Amino acid sequence: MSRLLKTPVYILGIESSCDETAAAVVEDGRRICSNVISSQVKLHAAYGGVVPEIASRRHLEQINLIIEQALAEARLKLGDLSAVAVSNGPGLVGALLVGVSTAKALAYAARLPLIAVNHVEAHLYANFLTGAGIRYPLVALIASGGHTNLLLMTGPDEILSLGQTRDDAAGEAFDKVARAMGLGYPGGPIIDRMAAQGNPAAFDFPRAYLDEEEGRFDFSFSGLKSAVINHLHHLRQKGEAPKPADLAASFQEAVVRVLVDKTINAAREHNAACVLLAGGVAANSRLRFLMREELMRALPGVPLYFPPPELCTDNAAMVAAAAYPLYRRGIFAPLNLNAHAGLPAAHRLLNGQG
Amino acid sequence: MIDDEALLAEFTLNIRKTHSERLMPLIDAMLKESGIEREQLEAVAVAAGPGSFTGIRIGVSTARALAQGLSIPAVGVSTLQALAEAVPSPGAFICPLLDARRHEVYSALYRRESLPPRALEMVIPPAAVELGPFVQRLKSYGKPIVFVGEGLNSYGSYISEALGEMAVLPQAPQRACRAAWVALCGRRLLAQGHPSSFHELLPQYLRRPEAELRLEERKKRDAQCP
Ligand SMILES: [Zn+2]
Repeated sequence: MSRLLKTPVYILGIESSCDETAAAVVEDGRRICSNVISSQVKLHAAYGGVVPEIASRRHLEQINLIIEQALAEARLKLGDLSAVAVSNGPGLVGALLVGVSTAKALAYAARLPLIAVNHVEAHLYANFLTGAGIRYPLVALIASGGHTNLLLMTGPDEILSLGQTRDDAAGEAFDKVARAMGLGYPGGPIIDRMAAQGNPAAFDFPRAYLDEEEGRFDFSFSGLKSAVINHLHHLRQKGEAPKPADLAASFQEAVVRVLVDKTINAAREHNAACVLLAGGVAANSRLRFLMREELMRALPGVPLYFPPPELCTDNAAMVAAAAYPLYRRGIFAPLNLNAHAGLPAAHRLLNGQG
Repeated sequence: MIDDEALLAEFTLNIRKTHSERLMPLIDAMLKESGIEREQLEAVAVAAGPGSFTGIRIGVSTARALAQGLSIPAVGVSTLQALAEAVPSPGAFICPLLDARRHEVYSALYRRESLPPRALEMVIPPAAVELGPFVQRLKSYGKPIVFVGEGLNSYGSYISEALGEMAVLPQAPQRACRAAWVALCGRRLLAQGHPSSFHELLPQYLRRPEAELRLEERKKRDAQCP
């Protein structure tokens, strides 16, 4: 295909897996030409969490406009593009379907190849957009309101799953604890700010390390979440006021410690040349601080990279970046592409085997 | 797919597989079989609802993106009107019916004008309604009513029992909403100067999200007993 020779390669990314409608154009998998995001956070705040039907409706109202803006900001027309990429899972299936249907029809109309991207893997690629000195093998922790995954990347074309959450995602635990404390939504940034004033050793909340052989890189946060909520109930029954800053700090410490310990163990075991953070929880200041400090102590010389805040949360630039290696290999999606709520991260090797 | 004179192609699949997997391959196959290039399309029309929320969104997303990608007009057509459009009989009362779950149907009542051009006149506007009271309301018209729509698959026998000889129920092939009528209604809307930008093409859900309704009820309750 002559299109494969076109340089530079401009890929339009489309993202609608949860509560951000996003479109972006990325050049050669590395340079952001545009990155437009329409967040629905305010729309869902009254419900204390994302309402799937409301999210799907909003995506549909926004998505074509966002695409138009992404092209305009990149000063490109559809015909200048090399491909259209879309995340088709994991996520809310109704929300994903808006992006998938749009990407398919747009690619078809413009006679462009379509590329399907795994949303969790795409988070990892946010680090490729920051000029970081990526070297392999690398270990990546992807933590957000929807996912908690440890991934191993042995080369530009191979991503393997090391572990994931067995129940709540890390960010979900932040949201639920924030709601129980009456702090509002989304919980991550609120608890982060509040915890800075508190004592992380005030309460000894449980930390699930899942030590058995197979699950040692898996996560579990529902026990911790329940312990914090139970603690709140006990205090209220006794008529005592909880010290919110101490509570937030102790809860956050329990989440962050587990994330840091498992990531560093994985990095050590797989001789990682660098460690990546991504996902909304990667914006957590305590996680960044502790990960850097512990990594320096345990594996001196192994650098830690994380994206700027706007590339930590869901965006389409990461989708376009993740599509680039697939484009280079000519791995395109058929017109019957579907959305999958539970699409596993790293379920396949990028070179099409397995 | 229609042109000025004729129905050129119409593909229908009514099987248990998601629209998401079927719709684009179907459009592609239809164009290929017809020997028409996608760039030759001059407008796109879509059944914008009511119906299954997810199904509507797959259709509307696809239509919007096709229009955006091809730089052509796009228009949404009421699923209920497209259903009623298929009944030509002068003077007939026509009632399209779709299952809305939770003991409700999406329905409306139209009347085909007796004299040319015999346009459809809306008698009861589209809404999600409880079937029992709605059928009683239909009964009050005292005239035969032609029913269409796949709601008949679940409620056909209830309706013929409740309305007796007043109810005219077609066979299965005449129940489904067909793309040809959507195209025809769409062309008429565009000719009448209906907004034709994909930005203005939005679903006609006829029902708000359940979470939104629950939140509103809770707010009302809280306002009453502070
Ligand atoms: Zn995400």
